[in-house]
Amino acid sequence: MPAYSLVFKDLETLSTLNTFQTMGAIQTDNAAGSRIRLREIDIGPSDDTPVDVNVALQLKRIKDVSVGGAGTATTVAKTESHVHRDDQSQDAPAVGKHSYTSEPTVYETEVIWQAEINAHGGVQKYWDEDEAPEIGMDALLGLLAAPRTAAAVRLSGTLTYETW
Amino acid sequence: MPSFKITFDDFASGVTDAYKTAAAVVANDDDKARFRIRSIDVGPSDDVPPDANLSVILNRIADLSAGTVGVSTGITAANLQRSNVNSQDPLATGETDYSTEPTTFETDPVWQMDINAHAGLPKFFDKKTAPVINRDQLIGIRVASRTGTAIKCSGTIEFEPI
Repeated sequence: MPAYSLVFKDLETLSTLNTFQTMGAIQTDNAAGSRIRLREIDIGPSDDTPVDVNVALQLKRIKDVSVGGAGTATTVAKTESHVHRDDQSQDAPAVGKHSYTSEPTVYETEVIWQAEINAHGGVQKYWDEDEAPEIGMDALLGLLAAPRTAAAVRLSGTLTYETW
Repeated sequence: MPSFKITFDDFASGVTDAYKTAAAVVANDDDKARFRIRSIDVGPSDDVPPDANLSVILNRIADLSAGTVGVSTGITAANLQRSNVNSQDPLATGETDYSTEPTTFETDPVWQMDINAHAGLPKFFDKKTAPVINRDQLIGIRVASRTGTAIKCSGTIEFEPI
């Protein structure tokens, strides 16, 4: 099945202790049959001057985007060539989102996956087809980050997802 | 499937977010040419490791024939290192150590991760999520320091025919 990328570049977390901000998200179309699963997360530090700060990462889901409160972000068009791992593949039934200026308010309370990194390091998370977090139509998977001290950290990375 | 490898050694990155291409896979302009990237590895090689961040991207040129391909050191298909020395040559070539960048990379990368220059980056792609190179296309590992000082790095890109 085709695979797709959401790349986010040099995005800044909030500087408020333990307050999460969405770095990148995948939102499925509100159409029957739309579904994706997240296969990989790659994220690492991009500050011009590296900081010695720990950063919490969480993967969270919105089960029903149409209910409202999904936040405000930059949308990456599904037709963009760089989104496609194979540029001959058809468009995904989903779009990528990054650079949130207003956070979603309707994430599920419980976290799907969590990790912590130091801002001198990064994390690469791989899920196989059976373990990968999935969403159906009209849903969203977001990668959120929060500093463990009151200092913003800049991060870059990629969310890799596929249809099936 | 045989796997082919292109290595680069002690390559100076671009500076201040301007990317330089360390290594690239080039698919021949032949309708049978189709490859996927299976892994990349990038790590720091400065004599004195700086505490600086390095941005690593995979960037594609969707139509090599359309533009300038830059100036680099070419590796012929016959000279590409491979997992099995007896495997046939791929319908692809390699490029390393660009001194003049191609001008036709897509604006946004296919994949990105940034690292601190005290660490390294091993990245494995499984067969389903691997970035694909079709005929007359190129995918390159490109690196840029976040500061005005270049970061030296070494590494490998591995690819296989589909």
